[in-house]
Amino acid sequence: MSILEQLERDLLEAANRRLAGGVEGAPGPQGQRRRGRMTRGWRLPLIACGALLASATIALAATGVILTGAPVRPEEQPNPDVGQGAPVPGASRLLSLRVPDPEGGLEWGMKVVRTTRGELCIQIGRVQDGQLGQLGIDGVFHDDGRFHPMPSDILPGSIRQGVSRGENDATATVSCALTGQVVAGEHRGVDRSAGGADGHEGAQPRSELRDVYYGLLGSSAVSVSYKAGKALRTVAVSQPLGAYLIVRKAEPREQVGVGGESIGSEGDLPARAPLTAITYRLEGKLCERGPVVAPGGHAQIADPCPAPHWPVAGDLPPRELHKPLGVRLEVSHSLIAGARLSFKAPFAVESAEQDYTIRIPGVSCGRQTFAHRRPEEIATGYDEITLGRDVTKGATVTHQFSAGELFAPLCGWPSHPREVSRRSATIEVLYRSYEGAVPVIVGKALVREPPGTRPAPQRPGNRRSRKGHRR
Amino acid sequence: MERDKLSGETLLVAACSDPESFAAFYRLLERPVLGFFMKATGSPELAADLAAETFARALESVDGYDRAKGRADQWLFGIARNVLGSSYRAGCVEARARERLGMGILVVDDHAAHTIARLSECGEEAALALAALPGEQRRAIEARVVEGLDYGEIAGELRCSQAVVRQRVSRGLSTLRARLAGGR
Repeated sequence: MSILEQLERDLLEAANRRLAGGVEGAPGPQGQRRRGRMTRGWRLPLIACGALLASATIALAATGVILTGAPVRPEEQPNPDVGQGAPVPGASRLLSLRVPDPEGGLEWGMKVVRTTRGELCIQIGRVQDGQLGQLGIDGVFHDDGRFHPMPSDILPGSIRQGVSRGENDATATVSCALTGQVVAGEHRGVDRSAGGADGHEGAQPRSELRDVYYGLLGSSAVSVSYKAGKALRTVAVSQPLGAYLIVRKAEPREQVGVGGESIGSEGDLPARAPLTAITYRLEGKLCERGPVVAPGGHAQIADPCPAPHWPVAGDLPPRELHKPLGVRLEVSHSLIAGARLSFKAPFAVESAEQDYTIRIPGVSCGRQTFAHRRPEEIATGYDEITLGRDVTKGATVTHQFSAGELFAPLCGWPSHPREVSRRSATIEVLYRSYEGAVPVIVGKALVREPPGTRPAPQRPGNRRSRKGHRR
Repeated sequence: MERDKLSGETLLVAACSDPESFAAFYRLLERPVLGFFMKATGSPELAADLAAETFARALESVDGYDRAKGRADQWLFGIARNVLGSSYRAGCVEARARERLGMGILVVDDHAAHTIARLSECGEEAALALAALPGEQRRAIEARVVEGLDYGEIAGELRCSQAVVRQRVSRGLSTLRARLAGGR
């Protein structure tokens, strides 16, 4: 009980008014937005035509007179049954979150798009007149200097599939996770246009690239704290999705064109750099989660949250259905060209939450301690390929293997791969629900290299990625 | 109230988006701040007025609180000293922050004035030491020693047994004694 109860009530009412009236502009970085825009916008060095146009665009954007260009178009039409799926019409939303660019100009914002396969995709870009879009600078849209809005119902992933064209080029500013999951991630070295640099392969100065840190932490998140230089800043997340967004200039020597993401369940996600803490309200109590610390380490957290609810399903043995798998080797003139796997789907796949995984043993190049063993005996986990598409229950699923994947897999660093020969491989098909359920082994098939045959030589670059689809 | 168990630093961080957390922050440091101003001015009414302006300024700048630069009470007392200094220079208690926030005139009744006057007797140091105690111990001591409630009432309020309340009061007082002795 306080001594001056009236003062406590007055402060509470003032705090409520302040929060209600300052959703867009009050907290944290918003307050600094105008200053940054006014000063830094004028100090851009005008070193070349490109830089001049970019600077002009940034400056014009600051004064609100930037012209609008053609809308952003997807490079390919998304398939509603494959991968992330297609956007659900009318189910995308630009969040109220706005953060300034380090050089001023149009603010950055975040849009969420729900898809037909149950994913929630995050698109990050520049905002003008309540629309998310890209700037025509740094090689994007032929440097036309205009703002290019992104239509509300296009799937972000179909614009840029996360491909980095070169060390200094733009990366995608999109990411997708299953609905209900919470995420915290970063895109490093994003083009300040917020778009991929179409046809622009030249090196961009790091100062013109951005590191974008983002997250959807869920409704239990209250605020995030992070280091900005030597200062520690705390900003409220945007509800109800618990969204945050931080945009910085890329550091002079940092690796760009990379990104990462932490995915978890609501209230459990720890702080991911540059975040130093996430404040949650769990069961009515405020608490914090710091970064994951190494065993024996100690995070400086005043009111730590209870231990996360780690899923226990991973410890349980998978159930086996022992369904038959068909494998047909394609042999011609003693050369194995490939193999075709087929099986009947015992379960339907109706969203990105479920999927079939096909896995074969991985290989290691071997170390000195394994010198006495044959290379094919040194299996290191599995190489997994996920279907990433909807499947009707009972439908026949097929997958084409190359001969190299089965009998001449690669080992070592991706930049210096080595081929390892093996005479046999066991193919397994699993069904996973991604909801903490125990995976089900649909079936297994041992494939042997027939006597007198050998894998057909692989042309460089003709191998598919072992990872197949994401996850 | 669960927020009353949290540290000032956590409450300030949460106050960016949670008004109730700022109210809890006020409850946490009301007595030390009132005691500080009571000692400085000798007037309960002036102390209340200065405390109101201090907390109003704190609310205005809560987004700028930098946990890395110091504790919440140090941050607040920095504001308090500024308010006191500018009020001395102006010859009256500053009220600009309260005006900007649309806060009304504060009325201090006799009971509150008497309580504030007594705060200078127990001293700012003791009030700060009390504020630094864990929330459960702090509340138990406030209820027992300051508000004079009996153990049964406190147990009902805190939803625990009387034995637990006694233990919290005992441990809290021991900690207070140790801290105050160490500070001299």
